[in-house]
Amino acid sequence: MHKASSPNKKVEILLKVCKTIYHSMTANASKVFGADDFLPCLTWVLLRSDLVTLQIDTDYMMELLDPAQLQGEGGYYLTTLYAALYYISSFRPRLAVRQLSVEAQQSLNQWHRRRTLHCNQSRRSQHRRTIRRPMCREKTLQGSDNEAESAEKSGRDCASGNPTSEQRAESGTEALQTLDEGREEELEGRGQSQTSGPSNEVISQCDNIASNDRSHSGFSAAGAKDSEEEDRDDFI
Amino acid sequence: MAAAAGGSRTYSFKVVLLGEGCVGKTSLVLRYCENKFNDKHITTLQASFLTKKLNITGKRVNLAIWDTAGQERFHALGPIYYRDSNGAVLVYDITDQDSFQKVKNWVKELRKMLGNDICLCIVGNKIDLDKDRNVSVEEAESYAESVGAKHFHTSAKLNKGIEELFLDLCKRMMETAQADERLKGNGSSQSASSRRGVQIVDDEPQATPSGGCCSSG
Repeated sequence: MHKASSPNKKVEILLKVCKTIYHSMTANASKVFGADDFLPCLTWVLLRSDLVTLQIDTDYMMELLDPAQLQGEGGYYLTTLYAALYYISSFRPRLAVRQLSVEAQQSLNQWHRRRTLHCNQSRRSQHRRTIRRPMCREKTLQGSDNEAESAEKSGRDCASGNPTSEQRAESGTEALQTLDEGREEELEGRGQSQTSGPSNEVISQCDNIASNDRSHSGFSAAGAKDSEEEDRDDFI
Repeated sequence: MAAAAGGSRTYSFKVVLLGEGCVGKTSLVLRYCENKFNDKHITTLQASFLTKKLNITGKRVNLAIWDTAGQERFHALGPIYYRDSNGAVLVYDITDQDSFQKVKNWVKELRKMLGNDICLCIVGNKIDLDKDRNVSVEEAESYAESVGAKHFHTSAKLNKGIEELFLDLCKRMMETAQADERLKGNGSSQSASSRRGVQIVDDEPQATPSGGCCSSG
């Protein structure tokens, strides 16, 4: 999916993937499956497949797909993919989260406004709004770029500046690793938006993370996360 | 998005199916779409997303029916699915009081998030199991009325009440869409629905710092 460049191609591949999943689901049963069964299966497949680029591809499709298609099958399975990814990324055992987080709701709302706008573009009364929204869109795109970049950068800096973090990543379990990665990205994103300072600040943040990692490498993921967040708050 | 595309009278509606797991959402929609159209309109994939073309009083209606995962642990994913839908079918199992309670939660959430733009149908499924009924007809119907929803009894197994349910829902969605159009036609100052307007406010502070990228016209 990552290799295809057009959002349409990507969605086609997504539909093929979904079809394959359905196919293997029905291989052992004669009943027809709905979302009750499909979403857990898709989630499981995503977890097992270890696709690094998936989140970015999903965002890419959601931003660039033809609005008409968002109403169709492609849109549905894209939504399901988004839902599965959200479920994975927000998964907290023993804590039944009954509501979407505020950030996710906002980003969905923003996305929805961006995308439905183009359907109404012909109407003159909305002209002002049509000018304004592309700006928001560029802003968010820019933001996510920064986030990705900074995460990448921080990863590199940490690796070169402090070998412990790399070791930690290698020794950790797969689940822990992805969890950490996600968290680092999130934190970096936050740090970037709040400090927007020179790059040495970012590096010192990395050192901070790395030292945290070192000190907590023996503890459980949850414990490490909590204390790291505390440290981070102090730092900021 | 009730887009009457290009001025032609074809309505496209998105209908989302909500309800606890195992109440028969999938069977319901499968029965509805499959029975009449002989598999032809079941798209390449399976029963999570189904479309149906209807002709109601000379107007063409494209119905896209989005199934959702009803298990409690997926509850938080609801908004991802129901955002932007024109109608919601809230399904409960008449033998299961809990599933009816779940419907009430969904109604509350939908009304809170989408206001009155969305047409609701509350559906008591599995009436073939009437002898095990645990949700009384009166209770369900009076509740539905109190929240401005229509109540239906269906059985996917016996194929009862399903046509009526979707037909009624379509008619109501068409009325809503027409009223919406009229509103837009008259006073375009309030053209965007209120929920869109409100959220522009919290957008603005973020947009201001990024200078000079909106010069295009």
